[in-house]
Amino acid sequence: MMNTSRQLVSGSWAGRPSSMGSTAPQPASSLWPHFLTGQAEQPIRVVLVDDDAHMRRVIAQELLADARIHLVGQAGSLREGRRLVAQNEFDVMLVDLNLGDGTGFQLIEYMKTMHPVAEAVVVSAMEDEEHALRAFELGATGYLIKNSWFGNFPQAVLQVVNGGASITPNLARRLLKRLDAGAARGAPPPGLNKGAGGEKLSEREREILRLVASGYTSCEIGKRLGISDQTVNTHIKNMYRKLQVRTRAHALGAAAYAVKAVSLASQWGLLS
Amino acid sequence: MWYQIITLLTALLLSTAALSAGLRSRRRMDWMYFGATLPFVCLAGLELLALNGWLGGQKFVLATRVTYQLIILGVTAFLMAPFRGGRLADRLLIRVQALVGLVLAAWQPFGGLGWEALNIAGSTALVLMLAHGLWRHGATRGWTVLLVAIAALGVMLTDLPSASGGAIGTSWAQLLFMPILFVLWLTLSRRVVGARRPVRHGGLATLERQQLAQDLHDGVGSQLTTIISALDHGSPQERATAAALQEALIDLKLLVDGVDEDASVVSLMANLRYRTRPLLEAAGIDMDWHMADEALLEQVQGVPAREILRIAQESLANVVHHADASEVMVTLCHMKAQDALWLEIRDNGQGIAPEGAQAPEDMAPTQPAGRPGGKGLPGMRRRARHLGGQFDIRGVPGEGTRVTLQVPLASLVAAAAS
Repeated sequence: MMNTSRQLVSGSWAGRPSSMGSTAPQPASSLWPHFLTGQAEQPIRVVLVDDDAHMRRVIAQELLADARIHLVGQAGSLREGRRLVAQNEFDVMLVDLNLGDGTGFQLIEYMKTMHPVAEAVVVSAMEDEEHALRAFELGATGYLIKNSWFGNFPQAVLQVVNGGASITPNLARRLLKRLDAGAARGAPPPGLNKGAGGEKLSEREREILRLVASGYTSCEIGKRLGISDQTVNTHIKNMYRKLQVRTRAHALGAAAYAVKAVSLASQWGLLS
Repeated sequence: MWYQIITLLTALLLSTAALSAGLRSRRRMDWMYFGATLPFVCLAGLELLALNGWLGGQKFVLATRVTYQLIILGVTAFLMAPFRGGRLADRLLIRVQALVGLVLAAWQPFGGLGWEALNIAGSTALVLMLAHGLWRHGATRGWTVLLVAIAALGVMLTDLPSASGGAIGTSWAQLLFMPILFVLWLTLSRRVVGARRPVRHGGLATLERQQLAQDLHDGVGSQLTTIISALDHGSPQERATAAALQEALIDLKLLVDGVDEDASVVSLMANLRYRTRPLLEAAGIDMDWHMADEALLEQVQGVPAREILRIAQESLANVVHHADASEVMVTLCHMKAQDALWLEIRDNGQGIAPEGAQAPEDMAPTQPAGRPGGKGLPGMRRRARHLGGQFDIRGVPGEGTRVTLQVPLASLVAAAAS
């Protein structure tokens, strides 16, 4: 155990793109439709940041075995993660929330400024809706629980990237509550009136969340609503985006408010 | 003079208490409280120095302002700690206020009305935002914090104008505010018994139960996870161990889910479905899920909801382990005519033997030929009886087993409310 983790820390940067993909075995790639991202010829580029060396090894092993994924690099701390993010091009960042010298939230924020198009997917051992919501507010588009031993981890990652993955009933409940609360609040914060309509849940989205909260799977929901399960998941992913937009709008609104208050205050100061 | 000494001693006492608590527990809440009390010590100390003539003039004014700004920051951060620092907007506002405040305090040592106005505006805005947030979904704890926040605002509103551009000193309001903050700290860190809810059913208080469940989940849960991931997936024996551990983990999670008193039977059952999905998939069993009338069933919460969850959970476990089935149908709905909750779990397996199905509550489970009764049958009957419902289990050899539960909704809702 000690041995393996030491090895991992010293060799935490994986090889070049060309050496991967073409030589690795191709499990299940025949099942993967050709129009989706993550093909053997052009694997999806992933960076992995997790402070638990053992977990990182387990996840990295699974990712390396899948030809649709190219593991660009790994990091074991926030500091290493920042360097990894700054120095590499990638499509997806898998990040744990606990990073020893910081949090995954910080890295998500940082990554979103460096690579706005890349996706952040949280990989956590613990199921915590509050943490998940916060990650989504910062721009994450997926939250995977790493203890689901039965599941195929690379498949789950690819699913998040290609439209989105299903969520837990508890999270659906919270999402419904939070986004509906935002809609009920209606008026955006002072100083920001644009884009308010886009943050509200559509009737379809609300229905999907309600069905997830009742225990139905994406597949069943798709059948009920006459859409594909992938479309259901895309709806869910869109709701994460709304959450992020809403949060950003509120932060901007508050900032505008603070600036106004300060300028007003200094005016009084000058007058006195 | 005496007055400043009393203030200094009080502040010193409280911050020492906070420091020692923080060093022992290493909890964030204790450190935040320490951060809130320490500047009070500095302020009283500064004033004592000035009274003795060791400090004065512009330097003194500047020092008191900077210290007061630190008091504001410390108290605000402590008050926001239960909300994990608040939303993005709150956190931003706190930082802007502290930063600009420090700059203004240093910039305009005399006649700095701008500094006072900034703090009054910032803190008022924060209290309003807090109140607004609580108005929509607030817990009792949050309202307690709001009360203290309003008191803090009051202290600031008396302190700032009374300084009238000069140095800011200690005040009666501050001296009285310190114990208020102390009591809030005791309450938030659950050091006083009054913070707990009254004990019901001779069991643990809700808060303690939630804490226990959370600790179980974080501690035992993560250990199980680590063990499972360390097992070799290639070896059939270790795979069987992993599957058994995975099941234990699911049990644990369902237990944690059930601790939430507000969780309805709908959310508990939805979790059951979600959590058992990988288990059923691994066993090659398809699930047909039917949940209807959720709005009505949301009223069923607390103990009755948990009892229904356990019955469903036990039935599903029996299906996985004993039924040899390829399909299971779970239905949870409201029966209009009887105004009752209806739970049904039906599989297409080998069918429970009649002797197994008849196992009475007080008898040890028998293991007859054909499908065994499953260990949980007596327990399921007992739970159903407690709920005041009708429980039935029936098997047809080679065709399957059907478990049904019917409970009048009125008794469920009344039990949940009491």
